[in-house]
Amino acid sequence: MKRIGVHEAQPGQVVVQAVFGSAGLALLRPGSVLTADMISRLSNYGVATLSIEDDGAEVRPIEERLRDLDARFAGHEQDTLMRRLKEVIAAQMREGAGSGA
Amino acid sequence: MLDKTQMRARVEQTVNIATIPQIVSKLRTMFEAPSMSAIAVGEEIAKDQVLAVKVLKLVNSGFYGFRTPITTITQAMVLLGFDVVKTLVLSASVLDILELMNQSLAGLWEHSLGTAKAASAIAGRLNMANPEEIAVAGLLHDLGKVIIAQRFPQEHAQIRETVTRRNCLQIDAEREVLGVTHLDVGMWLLKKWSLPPKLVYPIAFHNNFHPSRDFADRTAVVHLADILARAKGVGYAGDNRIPAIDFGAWHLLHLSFDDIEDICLQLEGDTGSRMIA
Repeated sequence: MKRIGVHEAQPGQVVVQAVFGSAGLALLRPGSVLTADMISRLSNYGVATLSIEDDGAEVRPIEERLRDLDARFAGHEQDTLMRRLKEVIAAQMREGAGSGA
Repeated sequence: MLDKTQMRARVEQTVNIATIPQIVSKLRTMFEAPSMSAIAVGEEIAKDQVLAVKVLKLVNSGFYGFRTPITTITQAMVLLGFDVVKTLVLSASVLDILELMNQSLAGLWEHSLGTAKAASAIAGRLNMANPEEIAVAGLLHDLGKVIIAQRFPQEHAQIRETVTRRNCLQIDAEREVLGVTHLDVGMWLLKKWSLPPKLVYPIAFHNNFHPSRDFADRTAVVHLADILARAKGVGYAGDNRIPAIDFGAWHLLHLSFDDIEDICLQLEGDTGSRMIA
């Protein structure tokens, strides 16, 4: 999921969180696919940002993400709990990458 | 370095909460009345349209996991309870700032949501009472970071610079630059708002756990939730490091690594969006 400004929204993107207008009405349900009309209506309703699905093109390679993981956990190499936690996350990253998610 | 008393005063004046103290004191009076109904309180909040929309937006941010969006304040009152709605009412203005400052605080909102989600999952796994309150503490655990950015922009810039230069935790940079941390700053504001200790403590001590402190169990949940969200790479908490899990907190929670695995699976993963340093 990522949060974008309405002006950056593109037709075809999928909204992942309900969008509310300034009058408190729910304008879009999660799962709605944006159209050009919807986008211009949203800005008319005063909506500034939306949460949309990340498109796959932005997913970084698994090696790079594992390197980041190592960097985040740096300094905790001797800590048993942190080592186990890192293993859990790394395994989930690899599984996710394997299934093409 | 700034004087601590002056800093606290500046924090306590934070944000455009002009309408809020009035409505909250009114709500508190209503809450104390024996005949108070969720409907009556909901109607009171709903009178302030802007506020009502903000609260509903928060309620529907995803961390409570309701299948259909909550569309009225009354519904939120019934499902989440008064303390949670009150906290959301109060923090709505702070979260506004978060949205406004999406340049210098990029990723903090996602990190906060991830922590709320993790806190909710941990509390659920342990069958703890009032998981909604624990989730909202997770959502607001880094409130102090927002306040520092808004009220102390110069120091905030210095903190950012220190984190980048030394690749340290933001909290260490805060201590160096301000002499206090986002935990202190968050606590000052929450106390000023008279939120109950059961909500204030888990936020104020999420990085400084002590087993004999009140609400140690909730504090331990928020502490671990923050670490899990960081470990998974959900959002960006202001630094590229992770604080270690506190042993006392770990023992108190008594979770297995199978539990941790399940909880981590429920979190929005590092979907590959780049961290902003």
